[in-house]
Amino acid sequence: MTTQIASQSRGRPSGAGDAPTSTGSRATRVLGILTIVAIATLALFGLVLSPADANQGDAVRILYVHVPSATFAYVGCFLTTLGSALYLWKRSQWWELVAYASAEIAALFTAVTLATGMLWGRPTWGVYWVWDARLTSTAMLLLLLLGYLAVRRLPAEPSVRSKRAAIIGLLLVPNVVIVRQSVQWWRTLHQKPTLFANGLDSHIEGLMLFALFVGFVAIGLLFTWLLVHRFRLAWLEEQLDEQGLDLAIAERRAEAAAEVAADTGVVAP
Amino acid sequence: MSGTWPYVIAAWLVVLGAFLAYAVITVVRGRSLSRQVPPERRRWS
Repeated sequence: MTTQIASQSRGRPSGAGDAPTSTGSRATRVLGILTIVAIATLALFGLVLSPADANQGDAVRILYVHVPSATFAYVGCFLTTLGSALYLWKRSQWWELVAYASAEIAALFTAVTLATGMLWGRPTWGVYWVWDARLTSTAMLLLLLLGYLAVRRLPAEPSVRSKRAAIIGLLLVPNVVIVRQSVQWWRTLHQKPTLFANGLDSHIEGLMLFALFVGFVAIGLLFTWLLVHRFRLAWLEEQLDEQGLDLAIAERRAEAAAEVAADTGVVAP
Repeated sequence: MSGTWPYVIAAWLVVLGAFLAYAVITVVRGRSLSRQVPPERRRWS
């Protein structure tokens, strides 16, 4: 991502021959292969090798994808808030696109977190949904992310649109803090943290802990791969918008020149 | 197979299906837009 923008800002010309024809590159291909291997390893440990939990039974296997998805949804929110803050401070288009790409991926990860949480809740609690503080605050987080994306896509002048979206982006991290702390601040049906509950101590060990660790690695690699591709896609969308704007301005100028020529009989240079 | 396995399978299918669908949409749209953007504006390595 850095290479792209750096070369753009220096205005370095390039030939068409070596330009990429997609959002992929050698680095993303390597990352993609690592992601597939990690997900296969996660499936092996999460579904086959790790034991069932004494209390939850096999439902614990849902947590190997649910917990990492939630964690990387928070990472996406953090990047969106960071990008939004840096956009508002420095008017950096690069950070604005990082914020936008992160928000879309965070929305996907939050939706997946809610869906897998519901599928875990049904066999464990007996219901798919309760208006519990953790579940409700996570649903609010998803709505906030969808609001950010809706505002970012509203037809408006690019700087106005980006500024409005960035202001919403600033609200994401405080919301994540509420989601994270909800199980501590209120009495909830949702369980309290399993990892690092008391400092570095965790209520999980052995193969179950390892499966969860593999889950973090696999979902983390996937998050990174998606983020790089989505950022490049956002960059391409931005270039097309600018191209369209340049074309519209050129057409309007040509029309104005033609009108002047028709009125005065003098052709504009 | 215990009674919780259908929920486990459904959850994993939701996760893998959602991420795979999003990845495919992103890559396909990236290929499509790359053809419309001049080469000097799409350089990454």
